Amino acid sequence: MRVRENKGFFQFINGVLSTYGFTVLVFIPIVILFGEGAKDFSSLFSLGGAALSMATLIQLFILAIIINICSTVLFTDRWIKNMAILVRSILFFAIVTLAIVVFVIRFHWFPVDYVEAWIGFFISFGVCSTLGVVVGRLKEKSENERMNQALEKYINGK
Amino acid sequence: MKIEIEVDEKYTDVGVRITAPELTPEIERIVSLMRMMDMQIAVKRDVETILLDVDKILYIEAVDRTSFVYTKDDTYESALKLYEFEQQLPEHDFIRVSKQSIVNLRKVRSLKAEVDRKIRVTLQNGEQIIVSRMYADELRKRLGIK
Repeated sequence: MRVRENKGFFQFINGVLSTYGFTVLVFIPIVILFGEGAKDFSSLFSLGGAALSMATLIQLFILAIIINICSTVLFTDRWIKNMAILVRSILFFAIVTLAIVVFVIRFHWFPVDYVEAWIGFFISFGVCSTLGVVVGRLKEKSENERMNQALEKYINGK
Repeated sequence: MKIEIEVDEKYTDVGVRITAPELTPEIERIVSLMRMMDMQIAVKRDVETILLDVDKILYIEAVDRTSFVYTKDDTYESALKLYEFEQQLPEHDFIRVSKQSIVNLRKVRSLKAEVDRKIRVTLQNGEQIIVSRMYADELRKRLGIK
């Protein structure tokens, strides 16, 4: 049991570091391209196009932890036993969206009254989330079909 | 335990005769294993011992130290351990789906992917069993999709 718990813990750490690494990699070109112009109104780009600040790196790391806690809770059946994958995916993206909104407000990622930024955020994140849910749903449907066809073939072939 | 094998042309069929002062769980297990070779297993319902056709079994579940054999309409008990069922039943489409259960693939109505690479098995009687991740890959292999 202890080995399994350790395995789960290391998988979680692995997930956090992967998410964090991916986020930082995504931020690097954005910083280079838009950092200088955005440094006056966004704490994310406080160092302009030169680098990401220590505060931003820590905030992204905390966000990576939150994302992976949600993922562990919603995409394993350790805590939630019976829930459709579609509902899990929708809940996941809803919680992550909420977390990012809290970060935007709390850490001044961009001004709260900057309507264009909010629209941009919701459109881009909404598109990504919808794509994620749709792709996940299609993958699940395709796997179910494949398994049931194989089962039918197995039963009829014997 | 004394084992005697007598081979003689006078016999027309294979027969096993057990002699004992009383019926013990060990003897019941021996009988069960022999019956299974004949595609039947000896199971108990209350105090009655019944020979059950293997192809009627939906799934077998181990609870504590007892194995429960489920058919469409009844539940029976068996003296056999899950690993003994496993050793004897592979040719009859049975597959281990968790530490506690073995399922008859021929009696599966549908399969559904679950989180964490697990599989939800729905049996012909509507009962559902979750195939743990450890055994889900084996099931996929058996179905030829991995």
